[in-house]
Amino acid sequence: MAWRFILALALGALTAAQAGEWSFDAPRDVAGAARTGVFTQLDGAGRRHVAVSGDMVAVAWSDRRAGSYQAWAAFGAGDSDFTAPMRLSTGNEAYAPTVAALGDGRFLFAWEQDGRVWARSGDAQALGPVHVIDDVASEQPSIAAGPHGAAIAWARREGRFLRLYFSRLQSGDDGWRATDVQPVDREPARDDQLYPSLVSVGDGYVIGWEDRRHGHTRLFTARWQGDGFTAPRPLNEVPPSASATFGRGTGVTRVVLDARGDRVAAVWMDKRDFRSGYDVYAAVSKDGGASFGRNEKVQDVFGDGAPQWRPAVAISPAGTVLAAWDDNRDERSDLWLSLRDADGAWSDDFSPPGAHGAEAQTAPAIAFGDDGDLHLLWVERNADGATALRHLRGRNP
Amino acid sequence: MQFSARLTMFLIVFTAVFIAAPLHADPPEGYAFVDYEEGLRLAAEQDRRIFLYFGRYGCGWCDKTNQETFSDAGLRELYSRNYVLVYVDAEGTRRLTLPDGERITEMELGARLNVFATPVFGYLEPDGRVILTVPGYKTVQDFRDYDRYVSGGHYRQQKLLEFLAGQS
Repeated sequence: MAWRFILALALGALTAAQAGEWSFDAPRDVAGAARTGVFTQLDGAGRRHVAVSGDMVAVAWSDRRAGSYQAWAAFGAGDSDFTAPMRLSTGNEAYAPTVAALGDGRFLFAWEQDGRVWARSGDAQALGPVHVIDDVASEQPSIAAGPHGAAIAWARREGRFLRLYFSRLQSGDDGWRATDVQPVDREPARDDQLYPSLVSVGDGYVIGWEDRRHGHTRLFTARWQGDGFTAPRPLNEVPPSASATFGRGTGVTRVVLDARGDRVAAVWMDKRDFRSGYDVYAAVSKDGGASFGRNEKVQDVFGDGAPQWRPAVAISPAGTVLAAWDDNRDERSDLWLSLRDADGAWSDDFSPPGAHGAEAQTAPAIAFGDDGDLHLLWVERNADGATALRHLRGRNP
Repeated sequence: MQFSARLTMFLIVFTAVFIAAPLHADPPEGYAFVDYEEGLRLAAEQDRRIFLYFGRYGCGWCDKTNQETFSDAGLRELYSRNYVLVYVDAEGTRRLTLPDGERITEMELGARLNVFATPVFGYLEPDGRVILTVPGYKTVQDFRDYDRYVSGGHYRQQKLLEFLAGQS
């Protein structure tokens, strides 16, 4: 490695166990230097665009490098360069790819392609057969892999509304197939169910999503227990309405989950304090998603004056919850991170080297490896609209 | 049908029609709002400016604006005549195409235009360039003032506040 930053996080609010001294490798371009007209995007449901299996890192994104929007993957081991982009999608247009680690350096991918949800697995050498998961109008896939195997959730168009479906996935000679497609909520959709985030926990799966059935957006979670999901449980606290006449909700959106063992962390954008736009809020479950603790505001007072966008979350092997997002508190879009201690207090925000500066740094996705290293993926956009996909590895001794 | 049964039926229908009427914010009734892509197409075709309404599902201030301001018949006639009317769900997942060819979700468009609160109202040139954005609840008079500023071309010489100060 040519050079390495040392970021001292000697901030008063941080405990030594939380912050210590993180070291970050130099940021690197995953799929070439910034180019105009490529329009790199990381906007999949659940923001799972990076996953780690052993020493291998897999990333998934969409861009227009092929002349039309397509879904792509690349793989990187250790300090070596990422592989050349491998095209996941096979149709006219593809968006919102997502990735989960299967183990032994193999990964599972899902994405939207021409209005359907598709999946395939792959590793640094080759991609496996591609297979349609839902052959009706469908979008926003989220995948999870764990001791119970792989599973997928997505939004299927049913009349006026999008309704969430779930299935376990089984690998065969012709690719990955959905084995037991079922609605997440057995009640027919009364309004849109959107943007699922599926994770694997100790005894099954947990899903979080946006739900509009109550005339405004609520966030719900449910646990899969072998024969279906539990009834939806509200995740976000709804403050008393300022008006009994107008509107019904203060605004919550884009919930993202991560899990490790029986610990599940959720982050989302929340406008309960509407004066500065969205804040990042979080809730943590210690019982495999059966219940979540109180809602916690994540960003610090320096970020309070600016809206926060595109939050992501990851749990380290030691159980530390890390949130990432972008905001323009310094009048430019930078990435910010915050760590949660065991008492539920969030650290002062910090911005890793290379994740702030002259260009817009946006749309972070994060994952921890089993070695405890952090992998941060994001999009850099310059004033001319040129975009690049950037990766940064952080170590917390 | 007995009286009690008819009363029950009446209450069910009354509840369905009036009590359970959706209070969420969508485009106001009686306006020909279209989606972003269709709006850009129409604006270019007709060489008309765009009035862009960023709303949010369940947004109280959007609902208040719809009911108290956009219900004004004169305002409806004025804005329908002067603008291509575009509505964007600020938390929407639908993809739209920007003039440079990039395809992003409705919510991403809001993020890039820093739509941190709703409603936000934008006035755009026929080619999609932003002239002005104004956040929050607005009265009929506010919208009439903004229209004079935009339709009269005053934005080319004056800031909005300068223009409004000169009007008073």
